[in-house]
Amino acid sequence: MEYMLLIQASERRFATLGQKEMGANMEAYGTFTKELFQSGRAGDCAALEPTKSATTVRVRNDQRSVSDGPYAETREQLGGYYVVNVETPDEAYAIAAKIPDATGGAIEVRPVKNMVTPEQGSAAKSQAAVGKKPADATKEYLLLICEDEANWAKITPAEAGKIMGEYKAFSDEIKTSGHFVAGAQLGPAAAGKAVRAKNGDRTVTDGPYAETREQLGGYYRVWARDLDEAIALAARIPAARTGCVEVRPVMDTSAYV
Amino acid sequence: MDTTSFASFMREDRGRVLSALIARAGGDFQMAEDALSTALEQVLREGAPPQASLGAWVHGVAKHRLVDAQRRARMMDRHHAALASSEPDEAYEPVEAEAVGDERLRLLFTCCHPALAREAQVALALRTLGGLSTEEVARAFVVSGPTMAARLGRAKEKIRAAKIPYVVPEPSDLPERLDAVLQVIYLIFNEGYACTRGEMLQRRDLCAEARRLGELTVALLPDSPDPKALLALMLLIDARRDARSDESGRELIALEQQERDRWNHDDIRAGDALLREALELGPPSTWAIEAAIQAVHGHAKSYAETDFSQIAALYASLLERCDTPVVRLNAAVAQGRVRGAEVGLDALSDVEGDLGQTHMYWAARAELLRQLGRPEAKAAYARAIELAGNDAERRFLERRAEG
Repeated sequence: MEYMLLIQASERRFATLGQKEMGANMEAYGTFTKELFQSGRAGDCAALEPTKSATTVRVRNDQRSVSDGPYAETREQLGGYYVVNVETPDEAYAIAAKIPDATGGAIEVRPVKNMVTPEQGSAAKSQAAVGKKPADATKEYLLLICEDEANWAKITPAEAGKIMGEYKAFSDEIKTSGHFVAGAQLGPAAAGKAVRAKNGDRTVTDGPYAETREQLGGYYRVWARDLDEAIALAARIPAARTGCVEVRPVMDTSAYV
Repeated sequence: MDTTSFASFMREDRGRVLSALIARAGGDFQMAEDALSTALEQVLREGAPPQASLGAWVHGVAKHRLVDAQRRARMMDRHHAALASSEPDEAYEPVEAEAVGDERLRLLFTCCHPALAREAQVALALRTLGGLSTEEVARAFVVSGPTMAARLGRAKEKIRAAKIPYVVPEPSDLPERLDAVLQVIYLIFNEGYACTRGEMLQRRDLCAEARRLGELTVALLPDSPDPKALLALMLLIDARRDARSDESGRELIALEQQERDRWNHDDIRAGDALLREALELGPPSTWAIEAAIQAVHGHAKSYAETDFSQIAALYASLLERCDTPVVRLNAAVAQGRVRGAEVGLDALSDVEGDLGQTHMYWAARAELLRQLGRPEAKAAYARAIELAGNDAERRFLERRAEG
């Protein structure tokens, strides 16, 4: 079973750290990530540029609206994530507790309902083949799907099926065009947990982690040429019409890994 | 280098040189700005050769500094032990304006990218193209220098981290993106025309900056009607600047009382001509309709002789394209002129829900009530005075309330 571990840490506090502390933090993540990959549990993962580099994309009445933000009013902000493949929920919490920012921050643990996978070799016919990444697409972005979960309860199964079909079509299109890196649909926010660590002890509390009007429903990770192309991709996601898509640049951590 | 040439460079050439450096820096604003300020410091210290124009020389030195910085950055990336020396290997060469393309359009669109917060767009446009110092931009928006420096820094960091491209938008995106640019320019103009805070009614320097940015946009997009229409609008409004406040700049003089021979009629003529050109190039935009309204005022010999029917008709036309509370308020006031204050009040009450917390609503309401000789005018003025942010506007309202 897969879980998405969302790193919720205070950017404000992070900004007060000195060079040495920041370096130590990055080293700790480097070590953790290496060990996670060695354990065979690691899936997609990324560090994100701070929320001040975030852009929100909405589509209303066929009109695209792009704005700076969101301006996170929450005490902690999403700084990165790991998708892990485990046998039990407890394993997921144990891994979460080892993430450096579990101490001082919180790791939101969300069950993954469905991982969007690129086709591998002779995969099922229903999965489109992944095309070659466009040469000018040199920047990765995380497209976070944010919407009010309650919306799903208000529509008929037929309507829901239609929307899922649109998601499938979008996934196939960006795989063919070579922009697709990874993606997932998450289970409900209420099924999430918040894991915190302190002096080697861990606490696991029930979700949702943060009381917000819109919840994270899933994500796509994509290659793009620049923010304009990332915005164009985000605008094609169905949730852009009912909620919003948050475009977060992925941080380049190649120096540390 | 004398201060006049330096000031002249800052005003005239800095934006153009900076835009070219950013292009060379692959869209990196901070790197380009650092290269330029290093070059300026150096030229201020050492002077420029007599035969080179100052702008070309500064550009040449800055370009050198930039190439140097890029070389050092690449070396650090590859963890080389030996860093490039900070002394350039070759001699500086001036870069003549004609030799490089004008990249200011790219700079203008990038500054006004919708992924940046509106206040960041305004700050960046003023700082990079408007030629204002960080301190001057800070004063314009009544924040401290460090606050404005931080705002600019965040904007540049977002451009870098999110990889906002340094490009002129694709034709399909151009209308939406151009409108954002024009909105930023008009926001700057409005701030200069009627300052939201402070003692002075107007900030001439901001209106002048907005006009310059407007002129630049017209020059860079000569076949596009909307920049012309916006510039026409600004010229027609700005034409009244000398008549709008008294000598001290502290007291507001309403349109009714303005001495029309203090209006700048050259600006009015120029605004008219631009508006005509805009209308020839395309269907009337909201900018063009607003300019036409100002043109009606500009042609009237007195307030009493103003063709308010035409103004009311133009507002009706504007409402069809742009139905916002502020436009409805202005339309209501125009209606009041044509069909009497009762009609005006009726139309005005439509926007109380949206604008009831603004001084502009209560001032308009108070004026209409006053025309009808109604005692409620006093309370309306009081409300407007309470809500007024600008001292000059507040004192004007106080005088009207008493008079």
